[in-house]
Amino acid sequence: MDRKELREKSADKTAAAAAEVVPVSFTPEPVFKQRLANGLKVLIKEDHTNPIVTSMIWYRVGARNEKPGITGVSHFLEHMMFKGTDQYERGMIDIITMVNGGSNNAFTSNDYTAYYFSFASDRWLHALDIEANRMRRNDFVLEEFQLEKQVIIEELKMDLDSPWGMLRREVESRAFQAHPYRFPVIGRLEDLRRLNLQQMRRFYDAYYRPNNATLVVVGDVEERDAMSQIRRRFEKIEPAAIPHPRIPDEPRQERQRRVLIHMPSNVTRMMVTFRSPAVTSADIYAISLIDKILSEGKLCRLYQRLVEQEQLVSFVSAEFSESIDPHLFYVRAELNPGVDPKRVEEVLFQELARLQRELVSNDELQRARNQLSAQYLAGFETTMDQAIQYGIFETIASHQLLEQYMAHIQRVTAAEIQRTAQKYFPKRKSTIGFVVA
Amino acid sequence: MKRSAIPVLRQVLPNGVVLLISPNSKIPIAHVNVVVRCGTADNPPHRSGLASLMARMLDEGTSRYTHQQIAQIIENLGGSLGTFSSRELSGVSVMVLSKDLLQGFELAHAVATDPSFPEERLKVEREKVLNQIRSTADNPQIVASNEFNRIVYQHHPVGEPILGELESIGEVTTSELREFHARTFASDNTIVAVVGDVDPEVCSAWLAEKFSAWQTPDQRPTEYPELKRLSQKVKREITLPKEQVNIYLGHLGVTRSDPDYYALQVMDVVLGGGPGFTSRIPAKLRDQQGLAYATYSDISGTAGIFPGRFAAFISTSPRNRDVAVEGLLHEIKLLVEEGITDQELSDAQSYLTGSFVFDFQSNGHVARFLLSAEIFGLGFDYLDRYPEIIGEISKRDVNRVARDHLDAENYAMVVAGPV
Repeated sequence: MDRKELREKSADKTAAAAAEVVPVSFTPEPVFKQRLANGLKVLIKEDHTNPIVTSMIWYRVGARNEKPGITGVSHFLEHMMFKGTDQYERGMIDIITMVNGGSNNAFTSNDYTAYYFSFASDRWLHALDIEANRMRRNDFVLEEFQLEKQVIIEELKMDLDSPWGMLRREVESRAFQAHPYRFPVIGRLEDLRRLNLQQMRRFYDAYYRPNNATLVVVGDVEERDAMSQIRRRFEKIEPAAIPHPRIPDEPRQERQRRVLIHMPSNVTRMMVTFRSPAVTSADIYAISLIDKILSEGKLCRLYQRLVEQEQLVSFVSAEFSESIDPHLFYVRAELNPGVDPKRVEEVLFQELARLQRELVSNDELQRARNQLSAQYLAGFETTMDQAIQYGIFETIASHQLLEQYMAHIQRVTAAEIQRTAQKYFPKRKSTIGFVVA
Repeated sequence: MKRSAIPVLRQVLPNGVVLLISPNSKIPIAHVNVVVRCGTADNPPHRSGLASLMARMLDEGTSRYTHQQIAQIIENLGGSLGTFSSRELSGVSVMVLSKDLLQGFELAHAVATDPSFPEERLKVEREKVLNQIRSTADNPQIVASNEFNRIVYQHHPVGEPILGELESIGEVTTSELREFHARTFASDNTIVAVVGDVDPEVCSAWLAEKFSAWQTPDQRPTEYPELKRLSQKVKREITLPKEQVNIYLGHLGVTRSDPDYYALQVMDVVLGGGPGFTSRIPAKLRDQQGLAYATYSDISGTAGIFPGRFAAFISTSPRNRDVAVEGLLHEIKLLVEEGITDQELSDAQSYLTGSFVFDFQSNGHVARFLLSAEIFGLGFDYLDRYPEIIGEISKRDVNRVARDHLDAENYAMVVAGPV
């Protein structure tokens, strides 16, 4: 391309601003998958861009597996997994990570608990050694348990000091009446205070098994070699029957529910939720697009209407993420001073009604597809990004869902968007909460 | 560990604009950053937040495009365009699929060099900022941090909250924004960093042509008010009806060019900024005493063109307040008086030289590196040299910088919460 061509190309393209179809020329390299005889699922993805390996282990356990009395145990257990094992003294996991120039951490959600290590590729096997050992041989020392309980109570208090944290806790506990998604991942304060070491030990024994886990390795490894290293360490770990307590079905919601929290604050905050589809539902693609149509960038509907035209709020966003069982689609906003919360609510429901009444234009739909495509690509940038994406999808459904995701997105039609909005966004199915001063 | 140097094409245009281009074809995406050396530090008196508001207004209209057109072009492509302003840098970041690079360039150039600051757009943006300032006042950690900065930086604008204050933002006019842009967004003060799936030659030809016409000299002051460390203790309490107290304790830090910077990085890993709970402060206060979920300390992380701050932080229940403060002060004193061990030195060195490579994985990481390499003259071979730089730090170096740069007597302490 010479400069003149460049200039013309740039001028033309910039003037022609309609959303074009973006050909997605990028398909992720297929990931290698194997299941060991003990049930451990292994995903390996070679990526030799940098001499780095990220390895993550995912347990299919989280707040979803909890019940009143032991809420918060999954997350608390995640903390305890750094407190020593029969092979690694307390503190050693962090020290090994440090002296090998690595990084580690962990996180817990409703559906999973995940642990990660990133190391240079010449020393990444430390990660396998540690994960293989602590899957069954974690130490549970009473004194450590009591100390860590205080740390977690402080973590919970940070949440209570945040208006958004409070609102989320309260809205989620109202939006669900039977399903354990009503519990905060960090737990209820009264449960945390009472939780004992035996309860945690039982929980660990029940869920920390190879047949309830997925090991994801992404980075500068050779597939066959990585697989044999994994076999050597994990193969001998005994599987066990994983409890599948019946998780109560959440009854259909037929009336709007409301939450009002009074808390000293300078801004009124609103959170509105609707039940979202489970990851196995074909509706997740239309819902993901609706999320973009409502709240991505500045052209999106909620920003245009609430921030620009009516100047009712200074911030608005919609959020959806995949979950094993139907969870929540969230809309959040921060209200401008003096604005009547009823008016914001009214406008929000008008916009949701418009989605149910009118077909979205081709331009708007294509824009949303393009935005999702670009974000999808960005999810393959680092070894960590990839390990997280593969891990989540394999744990809650299948990694193939991730690989086929964009193809599904490209096929969603305006009529499907409309039907999906009609199905998920009736007012009576909403839970609406405000935090006010 | 050895890592091949990041490929960089560097070019300086006659008007002073520096182009930095680094290709990486892993995913078909490109990032374009136009970054200018100006920020909070350049706010005039009584105008805290001006730099930030100016930056937010950059994409609200240019002489060629309306704010709606800018949003349409970038969003239809599935890309994103963000403007930003921090303590000492401001600018525009664009992300596009690499096939749309030229539109990305066009917009980044227009928004950075030719904003029109429409009056009616200022009204909208100002209201948004004002509410954002109110909203952050609900976050006790930010409230404590802002107050801590006020004490540490005294009257220097670099210590002002980036968003500004309700009073200062309420009065800003479009002519002030124009004047601020003209004064600070200067060709000889600008770096354009392009990272991702791009052809460096094509980029450089296009950018050179586009940016060469831009001729605006840097009119920022050459001298800023002097910054000095506190010569006494200053303690402040802010009453907030919360569960926890948020405590910041510390004082003025160092610039990125300070010769002690690398020894301070090592010190940070030992004292309060290492991974997991390996550092002394999180190991003692969190892991062994169970006082907090969040506690750390850091001095090198905020070092920039202007001095950063040394800050030790903890958020804890009010009943733990005294133990927590004593704990932080004890660890600082202990480090100053007794220094570090051989083992701590070698662990910190291994950590820094090993984990360094993680900072170069994404396009965003590489762009940030190119910018600091350019601004602080690190050299683009910095990656290769870094292990050696860190490897040469001795225990004596760390013990000396701890004595020189930490002060457990003359410090600022802010406690925000139920006090």
